[in-house]
Amino acid sequence: MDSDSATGETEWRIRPPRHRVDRRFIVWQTAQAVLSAVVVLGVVGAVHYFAEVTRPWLGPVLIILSVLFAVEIAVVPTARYLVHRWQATDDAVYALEGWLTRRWQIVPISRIQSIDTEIGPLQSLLGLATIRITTASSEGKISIEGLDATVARATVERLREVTAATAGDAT
Amino acid sequence: MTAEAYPWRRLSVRAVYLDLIRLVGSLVPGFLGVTLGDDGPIWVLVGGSVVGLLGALAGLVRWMATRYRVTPERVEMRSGLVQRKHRTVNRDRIRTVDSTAKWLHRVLGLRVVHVGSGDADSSFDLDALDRREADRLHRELSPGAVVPADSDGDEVTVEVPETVIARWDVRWVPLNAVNVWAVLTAAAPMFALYWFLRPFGVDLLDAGRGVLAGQPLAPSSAGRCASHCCNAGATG
Repeated sequence: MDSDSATGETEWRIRPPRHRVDRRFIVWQTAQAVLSAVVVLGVVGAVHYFAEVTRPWLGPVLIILSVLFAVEIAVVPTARYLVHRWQATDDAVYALEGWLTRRWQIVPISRIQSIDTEIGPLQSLLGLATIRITTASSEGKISIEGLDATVARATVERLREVTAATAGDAT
Repeated sequence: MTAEAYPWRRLSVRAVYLDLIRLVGSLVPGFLGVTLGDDGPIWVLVGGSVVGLLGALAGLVRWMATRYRVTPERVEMRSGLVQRKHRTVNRDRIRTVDSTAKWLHRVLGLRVVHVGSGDADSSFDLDALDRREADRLHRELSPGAVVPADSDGDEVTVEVPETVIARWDVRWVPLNAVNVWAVLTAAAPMFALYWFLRPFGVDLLDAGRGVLAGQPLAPSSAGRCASHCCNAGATG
């Protein structure tokens, strides 16, 4: 045995998957964060305005919520965009996501049960799409959010052909 | 691609009738709730009505938006009007094809077909299909049927060797009837019925004693109810 590997000096690094999601992902996530901020702050603000009893303790809560939402709108979409990576090869689908907790996921092609494309109203406006790939296990679900709709369609089409050509795992 | 040879199919039109029936049906408790309540609407009934209405409307939207198709390689379903979704399951990954029908579905000759592929996230329901259409889908997706059946009724013959898994055995009846839980199985619905009838002035225990003592059931309980109601009216 090689002395290097025996002492553990050769370190294995996980190479991040190759592709980034579309730049419009940032716009999409920001819009979503703004919408949820408007809804939540609107409701809390209305309660604060109309019910005077709640003001002493709801005031600080409102301030903290505002700060949290400001961070979520300003920082989180970009941070998530910078982290997100994905790749689909003939053997497997890879995804890396999360801004505080990193999560690497690999689903072998032979385990793919279904391929979903989802386009919500905001995504539809921005020309984005989300791909979800499920396996028979509840753990093995990969979501690649915020792909360009054309790229998503091409990827799904290719995955369909590859999965059709791969023999099932017969589990 | 051969995709064009396999057109997208819709859910049955009768699913719309089903939703319309539900729509009308769910208006009834709401109407009763508004008209019968002496002091303001009865909110439980109105709420139930609203839930029923939303369910029926969701059913209509689902009928409008859902398309599905079966090709030699895969089954696909598109759904959702605003939140669009396109699901693809390869045919060799399909584990189960069930069809179920509640009584309203049965009256209208409809079936809900569930195409399962291991996990709930990768499965889908077609709610609802024609009975014939459901049978056809069953045949198309059963093992051995590589090509979808023709729409003009030419069935694809499927040769699958049959294996007996279990046969009916009379001894199952006593095995399932005589055990500790059988008592509870009977007791739980009786308990529920007792508490359900209490507000209406019917005491199931009294009625049971009456029956055991040989008195006819109907007059005694009805009379007691009537006297109850009169008392309530007099005091109120």
